[in-house]
Amino acid sequence: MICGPEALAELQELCPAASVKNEAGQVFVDLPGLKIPTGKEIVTRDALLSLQGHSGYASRLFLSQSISGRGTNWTVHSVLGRTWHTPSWRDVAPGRAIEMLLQHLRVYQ
Amino acid sequence: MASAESIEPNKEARATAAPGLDKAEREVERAERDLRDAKTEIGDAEAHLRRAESELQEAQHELKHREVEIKVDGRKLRVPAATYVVSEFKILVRVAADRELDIVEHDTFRPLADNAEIRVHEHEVFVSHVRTGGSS
Repeated sequence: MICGPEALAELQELCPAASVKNEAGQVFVDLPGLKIPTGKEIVTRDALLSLQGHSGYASRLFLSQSISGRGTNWTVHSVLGRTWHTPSWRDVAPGRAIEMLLQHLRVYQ
Repeated sequence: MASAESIEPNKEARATAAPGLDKAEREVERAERDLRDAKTEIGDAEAHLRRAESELQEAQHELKHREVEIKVDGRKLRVPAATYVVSEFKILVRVAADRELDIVEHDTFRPLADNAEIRVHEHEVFVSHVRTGGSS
């Protein structure tokens, strides 16, 4: 799963500073200052979207900090020289990058 | 001579009444002038009103039939500016009924329930996605 210019432009509608990054052949979409609706409020986190398989999941969304009261089985990972947090959230269907991001964000609603 | 005799008293009467009569005549003339001006102003005002009504009708017609450009899943579409029930809007923009539709606003997104209403009036951006994902 790659993130081309059109897919990136779609993500930039949500996160204007979105950019693509690589680490050891793995593609990530960096989403600094992503606004995440949690049902009662909107929280802001730096986020990193892996559109490829990572740590046993078909895709993952890492956050700079966990979100209290949302998601379960949070784990900590080191990616691109930074520590990230992510809950267990599977069965995200592959598709356009923004579509996958929105599926990942459902866990916080 | 008879006619000359009959005129003299009128001249005298006019001479006596002249100041008041002249003043009254001037006032009548002024009133007639004012009336003409007022009629002209009413005519102008009526014409202005008709123009304004016509412009209002045109604006209402344009508003009712105005189309706006929106984005749905990266596709640029033109749809009539209006308030839609989300399920009907999905049909209009060719999004499958079983997909969830979100609107992107203020750098974040808001899921739209199928029975909710959405006002489309400017360059809104929508994203649809399957309803998947679950904790494990």
